[in-house]
Amino acid sequence: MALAEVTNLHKTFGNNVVLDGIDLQIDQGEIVVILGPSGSGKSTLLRCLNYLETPEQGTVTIAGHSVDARAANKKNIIALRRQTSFVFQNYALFKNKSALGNITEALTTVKGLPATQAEAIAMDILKSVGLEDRRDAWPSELSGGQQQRIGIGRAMALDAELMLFDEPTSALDPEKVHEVLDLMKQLALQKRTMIVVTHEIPFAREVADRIIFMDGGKIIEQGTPTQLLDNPQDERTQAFLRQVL
Amino acid sequence: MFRRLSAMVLTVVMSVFLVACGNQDNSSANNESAETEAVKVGMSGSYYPFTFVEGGELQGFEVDVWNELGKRLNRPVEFTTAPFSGLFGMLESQRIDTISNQITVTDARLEKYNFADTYVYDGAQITVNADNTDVSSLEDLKGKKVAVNLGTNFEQLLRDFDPDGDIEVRTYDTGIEQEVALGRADAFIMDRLSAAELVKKSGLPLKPAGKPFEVIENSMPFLKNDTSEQLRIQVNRALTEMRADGTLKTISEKWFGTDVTQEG
Amino acid sequence: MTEFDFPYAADLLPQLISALPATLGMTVLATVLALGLGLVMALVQVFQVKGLNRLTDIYISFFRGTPLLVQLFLLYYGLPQIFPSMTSVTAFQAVTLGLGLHFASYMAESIRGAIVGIDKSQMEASLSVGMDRLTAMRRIVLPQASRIALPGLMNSFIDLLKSTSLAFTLGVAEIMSRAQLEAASSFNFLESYLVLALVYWLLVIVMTWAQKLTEQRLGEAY
Repeated sequence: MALAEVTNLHKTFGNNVVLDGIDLQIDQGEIVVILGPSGSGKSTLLRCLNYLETPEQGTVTIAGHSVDARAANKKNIIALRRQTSFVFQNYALFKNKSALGNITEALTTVKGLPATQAEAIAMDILKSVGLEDRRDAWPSELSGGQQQRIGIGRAMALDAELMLFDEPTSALDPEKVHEVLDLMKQLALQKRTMIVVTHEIPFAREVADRIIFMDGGKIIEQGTPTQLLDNPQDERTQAFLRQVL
Repeated sequence: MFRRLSAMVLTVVMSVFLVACGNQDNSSANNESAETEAVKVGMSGSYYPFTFVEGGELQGFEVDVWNELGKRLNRPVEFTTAPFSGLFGMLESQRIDTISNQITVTDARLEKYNFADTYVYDGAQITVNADNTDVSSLEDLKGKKVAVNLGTNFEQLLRDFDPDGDIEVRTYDTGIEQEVALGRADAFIMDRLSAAELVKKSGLPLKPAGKPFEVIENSMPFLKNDTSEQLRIQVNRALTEMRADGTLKTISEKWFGTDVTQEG
Repeated sequence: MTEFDFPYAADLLPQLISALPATLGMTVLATVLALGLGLVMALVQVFQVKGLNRLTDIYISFFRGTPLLVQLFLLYYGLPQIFPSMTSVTAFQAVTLGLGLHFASYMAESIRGAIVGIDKSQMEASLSVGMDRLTAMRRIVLPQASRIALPGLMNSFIDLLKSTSLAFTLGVAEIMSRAQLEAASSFNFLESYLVLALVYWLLVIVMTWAQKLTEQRLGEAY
């Protein structure tokens, strides 16, 4: 059985149809990259998966927790959301928390772990993201790449079933991109289930089990990196790839 | 969300209220019997020499009268000072039991309140700046600025005398003597006794103009309900005793050098 | 003109100080009430809580749109005519409640403005790690908003302190009434009100200094 399942998801902003009937299944341990031109609805799809955006119609199921848009309430939304973790394009670190505090925050307030235990977990994560020496730094004192590594560390700490990455490198200076991608590759090796919205084609080719191409609020085509990148079937996919490659 | 927020509002409001109430439990002891509960007496604290504060101590004719009344009623007396214009509001909302501030008995007031027996006989007096030579009667006040204390019967008296509004009546909570001394008002009207003492004590350039123009009887108003009526009867009984044994006269002479508690 | 009566002024000062507990008591209690109620109203507005939201609008409009003195008189003299049980509310309580209710409307606006000024990604990030909205407010958004709200809140606080002087009209024995009564019997108006003004001024200077310290402390962090 699939870890996550999306059926017939619809989302509009005003008169603008952003998601036009998305169906999608993600398997346990699968790494999925979503490509598409800006405005294609890929970020919105990601944000609908954990209900940062509320879809008008459709069902999202993750690890047995299901929310139908028409019967969504605070309780089932939060239960669904807690199956996921999210990495933001602009990092969105808690500005009033240190690097360490960003990682321990959810462990203590959401998971109810004692402070010492949360701190131990956070220190392990800081080590694996290579920032143990910056544990007490405020977000404002970190570079963009460092902030995003903490952002990923914050997501890792939740140990959620499904990690969602919303263009995690788009806001970074080009020379900092690799430090974040390297970290994501490490996570991929641990067989975490991930959905990544990105423009980094080489990363997609190297890491993804499957690539989805979206345009106009629809999934146009999907397949293995080789299938989709080297032999795209739809002309919209072909046009997009010509531009970015 | 709604319920949690409502609960937060309630908690905040309640806790502040409880803390505020905690400061005051001695004054709001409803379960004490009416006998030992303090009689709450309101006064302005700024009407020399009837009620005034000096060196932080509330004193004056009214204070002495009530200390004596308290002894005879066998109840403690609790004085509340507030601006004169607010005293009737406090009586109306039952925060005080009566007002002891030379309240003149008038028809309008009798409709709303029962008064204790008259304990001071007085007159209304015009007072002007020492330089003033053209005022000696109410008639002369037309076209002039006249200061009175807000909410007093002197204000009403002026308006009754002058229905066309030729007199410019100005109302104050305190400080009317200062207004006339400074020349911002031409005259003030007050009862004869206070006016005389005020001129003497303040040393301000003031003088009485003409004779007192109306006999006024002063007493203490009580609400028209059973508990207040009971208290009023007790006060009357004590006042009669104090009149008979000369206590009232002694208090009067202490403050005025004469007995103002007898008619005529 | 008469000369400034220094001995009188010197005698008055300890008397005013002895009435300070009433002034400060009203200030502190009313501030707690205003802050609490203001915070709740700000949250109601930010979260657009149905029903309550509209009520909060009306509340803020009324308390900002009518004079404080009128509100105090309504509370102290007016309401007991409809609710007889309110006669047991003392003047001290009425003023504290009135000041709290009044300044809650100003503080609600300061806090709401500060919350709105926090980037919405802070809320989204909090939600994404599984917090509910109230926890996110408490742990992440409000601590950041407090820094922005502080100057506005401080202004309201200082205004509130000075507004306790209106309590004298209801007969509360605070510093204004003490000065006023002494002035009335001594005729030393200049001395009385000058000493009084100095006491208020000093209190506000101390508060402003405390605000600077707090701002520095908050500013050092992140």
